[in-house]
Amino acid sequence: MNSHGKWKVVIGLEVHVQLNTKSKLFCGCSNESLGKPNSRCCPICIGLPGSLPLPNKSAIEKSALFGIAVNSKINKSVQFSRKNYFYPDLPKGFQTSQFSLPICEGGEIKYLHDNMEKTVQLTRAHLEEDAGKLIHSVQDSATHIDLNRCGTPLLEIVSEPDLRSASEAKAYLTQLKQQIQYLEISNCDMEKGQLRCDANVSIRKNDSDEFGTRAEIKNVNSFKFVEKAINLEINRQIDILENGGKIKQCTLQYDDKADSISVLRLKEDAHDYRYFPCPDLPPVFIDDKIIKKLNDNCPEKPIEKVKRFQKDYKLSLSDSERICQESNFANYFENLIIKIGDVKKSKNILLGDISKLLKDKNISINELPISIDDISKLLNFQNNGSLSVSNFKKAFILKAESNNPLSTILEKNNLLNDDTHSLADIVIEVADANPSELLRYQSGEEKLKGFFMGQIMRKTQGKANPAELVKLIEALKTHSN
Amino acid sequence: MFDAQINNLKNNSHLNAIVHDLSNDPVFLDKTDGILSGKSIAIKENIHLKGIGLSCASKILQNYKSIYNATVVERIKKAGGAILATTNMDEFAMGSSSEHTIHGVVKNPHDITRVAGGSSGGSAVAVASGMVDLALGSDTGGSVRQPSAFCGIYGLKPTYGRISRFGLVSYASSFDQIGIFSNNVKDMSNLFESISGNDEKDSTSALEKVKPYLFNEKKYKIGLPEEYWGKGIDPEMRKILDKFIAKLKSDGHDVKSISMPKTEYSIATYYILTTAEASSNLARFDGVQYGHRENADNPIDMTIFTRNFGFGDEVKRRILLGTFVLSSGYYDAYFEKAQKMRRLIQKDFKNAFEEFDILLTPTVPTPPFKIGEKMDDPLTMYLSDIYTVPMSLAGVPALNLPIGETKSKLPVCIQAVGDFFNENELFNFAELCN
Repeated sequence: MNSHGKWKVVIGLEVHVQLNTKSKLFCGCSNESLGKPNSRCCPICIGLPGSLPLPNKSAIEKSALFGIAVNSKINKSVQFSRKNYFYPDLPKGFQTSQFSLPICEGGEIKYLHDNMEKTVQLTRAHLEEDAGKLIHSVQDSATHIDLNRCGTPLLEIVSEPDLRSASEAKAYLTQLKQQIQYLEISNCDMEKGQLRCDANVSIRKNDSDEFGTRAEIKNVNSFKFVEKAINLEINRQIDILENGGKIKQCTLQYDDKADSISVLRLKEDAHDYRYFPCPDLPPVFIDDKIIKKLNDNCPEKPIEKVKRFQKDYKLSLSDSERICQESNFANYFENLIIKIGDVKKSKNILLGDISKLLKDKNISINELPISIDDISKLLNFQNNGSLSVSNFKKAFILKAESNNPLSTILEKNNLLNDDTHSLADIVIEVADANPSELLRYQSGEEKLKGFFMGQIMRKTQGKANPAELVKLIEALKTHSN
Repeated sequence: MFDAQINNLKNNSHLNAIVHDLSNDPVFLDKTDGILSGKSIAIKENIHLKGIGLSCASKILQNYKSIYNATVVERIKKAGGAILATTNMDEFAMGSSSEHTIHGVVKNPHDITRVAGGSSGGSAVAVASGMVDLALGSDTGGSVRQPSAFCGIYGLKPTYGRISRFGLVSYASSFDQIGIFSNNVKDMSNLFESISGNDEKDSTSALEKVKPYLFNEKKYKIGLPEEYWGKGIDPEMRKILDKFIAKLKSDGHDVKSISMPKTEYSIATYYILTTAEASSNLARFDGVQYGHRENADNPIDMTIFTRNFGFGDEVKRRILLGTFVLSSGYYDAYFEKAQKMRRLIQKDFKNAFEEFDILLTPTVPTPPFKIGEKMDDPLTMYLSDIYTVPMSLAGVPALNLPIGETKSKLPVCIQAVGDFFNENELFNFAELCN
């Protein structure tokens, strides 16, 4: 827990999430994040004169789904407003956003922090279009503009100033990202700018009820950096106040390479965005049918899944959190349990071999190159003793690397023990070849177990399943030739 | 084909009505069995015609070429019309005289020392002087009706949302409507039928079905809003207008006066709302992506220099006014209040149409004024739209129809205003008066 002496920290976050719709917010251009600069553009998204915006219903529905998942009030009349400012990456000279009537009002996100459940109230979540990108080229020392990103739908999620430390902010962000990924409305890849965060930070004395002056840290692109930037800002503000200074309302930027923050602009220079309802976009109505459909399709909240897994599957909190980190991963776990019928084995293989493979190959569970059927078969072989632990791992990896059927892989690499029947035959063969040792064993010389064990292992080149073998040797006591 | 029109086009270049003469190679002459086949059409230079320059009469777009067709252009093509020319206008459709243009002041064919009206002055002149059968303009507060009144032809501003705005360069989005100029009702109703109706490319376009227009003899319930018939109308025009009304009465139409008390707030409301929208709509002309660019050391200065050079005084005036009324601290006092007033004005019209089929008002208070007469006096210029602005605030359709001329052969017209989506009633009335 962060402690800042007599200072109480107040943090609110504004998170921008790019929605993963097929097309952009107001035109039919592809919303993929790929493509050569200015290849995914049309008169609408680059704001040519005479073009008009057409609202993307899917973006509106995805935004409403978020609201439903976090218990917001959904405003059924979606009104877009214009936020006016000039910048070279903003081709219309305004950003189409929402102002007085955001799609989602209120709501809350519950998250775990130091094993405690905490709640952040949400102010609102509204839908807006992204701007283009400026690319500063060293080669020709010019600035180029890529308008591919123009019109990408963004959901801006604004929290109340409910966070009290940088690490709470990070935990909230982690939960928020997880929630959004569960809803499958964004991929939230921060490196690709699909999730970006602004943090509002202020401090006040522990015994004071009055909010301090806040500073806004803009556009931080990883959770780690958000935490670092907030802590830097807290310390900057404490320094100023403890030295008798005053905090000026300002916008800051964080430099991750230097791990430092610097003032971008003071409040006096803040834009007057002159919001007004966009006259090209009449309100879009979300009818009750759509709300019902979204409600019906709204998946379990991640934090609830964690709790349920703990309870239903007797998982530890950390195992449950690990498994529930991604909804697909958690779903896979439940599919495994159904297929295998054993929670512990499912958990072990998921957090063991499967997780290792995903990590090594840097892929997601959906891309797992081995089917749940094959995994189940391998586990069966292991259970009935025909596949040793080390061969299980070998087979698992070989199957993941190959398109050949599992049976071919097992056979070609000679991974299966001879079946238990033929092991029994070998045991008999060895016994028959050593009649005097058998007689001594049958008359009670237990140490001869080791002799038979050795003989048979030699004959099977070590592939015999030891447990099975012990049983068979035990059975020799009643064997007669 | 179009010999007479082309002749008029070539011989009237002194009127400055035309920006691009396409008559050597008219656009879309291929279809011969459409409702507009054989009709020559001009379009205002703020409507996109693929491959053709689109300056909006502004320095900032002087060398800009359109890369797509407006919906109206596509629909003209489908109906077989031929586009012969694009027409001169006030810069970005802001003005009432077609004097604010880089293409030279548009002159009135009835008296070339007088203005043709605006902002669609070029389209009005093209039709009035026989260069084309029909023309499209855009009407935000009277920009089709006023020049058609000054040039003595028919001019329609349809119901807001009736004709797709896709491809019309926006001035004030919640007011802009593409309108039609013609020399007769039949041509107008045919063009109207061809281009109106819902367009999925324009979210503000209305879903209402377009019904074919058929003339029927009928007696009208006509309202005369007293606020429009007070002082300020040119006496000679007034006489002709009064005679026209008297004739309607003697023909058996039911003519009554009505009060529309919010009329006096129209001009103020209009200039607050349209300039607010314009300040935002014209923000895209920043010198970055297209159009004229002034050089500077940084992007902010570049945009400032470009806009300062590229926009004319009237456009700058409106952008500044619009920026002001949206500014924090003034939004509630101006923009918000004006929006409320707009709804009240609309209510005035709704109430009127519960009682009347149509309303009649003068279209303009005076005959066309002299070129240069009002250039230094924007307020007086704004007041020349006093009778056309309220319908734009309400969104109702209005049609200018010629009814006579002054002793000095200047046209006198009247404005017929209809209920929402009832353009056919206006065509019918105009044909009845013919």
